[in-house]
Amino acid sequence: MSAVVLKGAATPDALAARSGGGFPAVDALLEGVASAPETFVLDPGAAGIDWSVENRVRGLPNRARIKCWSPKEGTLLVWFYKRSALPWSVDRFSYGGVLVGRERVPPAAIDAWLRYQVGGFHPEQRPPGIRRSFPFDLPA
Amino acid sequence: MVAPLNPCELEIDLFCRGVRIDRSCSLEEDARVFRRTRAGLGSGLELVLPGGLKDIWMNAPVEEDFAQASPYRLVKEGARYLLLDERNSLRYPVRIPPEPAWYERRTTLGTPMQDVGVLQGTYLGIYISNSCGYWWMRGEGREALNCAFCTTGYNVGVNERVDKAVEDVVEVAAAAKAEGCTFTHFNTGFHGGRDLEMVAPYVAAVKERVGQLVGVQALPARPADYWKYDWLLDLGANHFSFCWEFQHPDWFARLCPGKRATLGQDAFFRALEYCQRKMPKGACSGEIIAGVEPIEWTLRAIDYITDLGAFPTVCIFRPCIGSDMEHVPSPRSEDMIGVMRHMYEACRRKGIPIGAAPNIEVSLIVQPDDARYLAPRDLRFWAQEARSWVVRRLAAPVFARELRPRAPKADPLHPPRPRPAAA
Ligand code: SF4
Repeated sequence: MSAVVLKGAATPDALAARSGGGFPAVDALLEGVASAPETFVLDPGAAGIDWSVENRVRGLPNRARIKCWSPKEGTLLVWFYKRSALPWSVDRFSYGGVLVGRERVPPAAIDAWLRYQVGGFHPEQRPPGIRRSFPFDLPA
Repeated sequence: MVAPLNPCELEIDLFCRGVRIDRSCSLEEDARVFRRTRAGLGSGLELVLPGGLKDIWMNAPVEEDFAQASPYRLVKEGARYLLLDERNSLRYPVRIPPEPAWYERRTTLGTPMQDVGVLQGTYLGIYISNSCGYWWMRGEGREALNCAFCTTGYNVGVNERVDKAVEDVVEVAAAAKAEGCTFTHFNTGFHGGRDLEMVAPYVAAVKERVGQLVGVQALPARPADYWKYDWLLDLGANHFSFCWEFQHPDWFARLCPGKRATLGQDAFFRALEYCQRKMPKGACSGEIIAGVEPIEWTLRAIDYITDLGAFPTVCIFRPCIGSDMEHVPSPRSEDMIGVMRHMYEACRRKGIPIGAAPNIEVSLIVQPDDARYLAPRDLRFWAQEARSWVVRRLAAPVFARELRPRAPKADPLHPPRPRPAAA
């Protein structure tokens, strides 16, 4: 894993541990983030590993976020969402997510997830296999 | 100097451009919580735009990206809110409707009341199930057949109850009625043709135990099942609405793939025609979205609906955050003003009652009586105002009767014909 992957990130191990640890998909995502031309920014206060990207979409700051979070042992959710534009609101807008286990995820899928975020979750860039709802609540 | 917009022009411009919220605002204390019901449309800020003819209730977009670039900024000065138009420094006073007291309460079963229903303007909207089958239906190379403008299928955990207990609904409707709400509107997504059976117990219970006007918005029944509308009328339903959204068949097919695949556009027309024939003028409505298909088709839809004697419910397209159409620009205000003026004129010409029902303000749309502000103040306008006044007076006792609890004339749990076999 690259040493500097996200602005505001702790050590790579501490970072991986935030998602439950031991998920190859997390390592691959963080590698993808490190090698991407855009700057990604970690939210250290959020549950799991949660980052935004510092670019603009159609002239406005990109609000797309990815959160990697483990709802239960051996399962990782890679969740695509936006936060409310209202400063006091805790509302979140879901674009679905992908549930993976401890298997390796093909690099093309990792790239598709990150491009989806960089593009501001444009529907034409929606990666295949996204689930729209989950049988658990997602922590902030 | 730029002339200020009248309240309806302002309403339309706000629907098209959204609002930015200034730091001076304290909406977390002053406003209703935001609820993303009705396909995502309720995600905005409820506002009241005061005016001489009437006050206008609206749900102004605040979350979408286009709203972040809006020329309108909501500011708070002392205890007052106003909208500042930064293009010309015009200031419009507005009111922020407070949260109803019952939003904080729980039902006897322990359900938070705001998980059961939500006030949209002054009516109570109850989505009887927070799922819609189109989101789970694959086909035509798509992962889902949901309507392209809708966000219902995306949930972060569960922000509404999945199945609503009749008891909960009755208590919430009663709490809303105690604060002046006269109309409860039940809404469903696609449930494989069982939608009307699902809604029946709620309709009967609210009519019998609360006493309110009750509306039903569900996908249309097949002609062989039109008896279900008669049954719901016997249970006390006062209103049916049918949403085919786009009049042009190609736009309908492209943007409402589930509706096209399971029902077809004609099913909406035939069901509306059937129901409106059985009910007083203006009791049914056809719902369409303006600002996506070519305007002439929207005008054609309004003409078709009003020719039937039904009420046009015209929603200005909102590229809701999270929907497949999020990246589509919102429409131009000038175009929407033309559409709404046409809607008012069509209602006037065809004698569709405007603003007759007591205290029903729908914040998600431009109502025909909002559009009175767009009409020239000529003789025809004042004649129409006089007609509306007379209709309101004549209709008042009818509505008063409807607002008293009364026993249904049918059994909500046992339809008069056998239920169709489960799909
Ligand atoms: S019918 Fe269309 S608009 Fe209504 S809930 Fe289903 S997908 Fe959404």
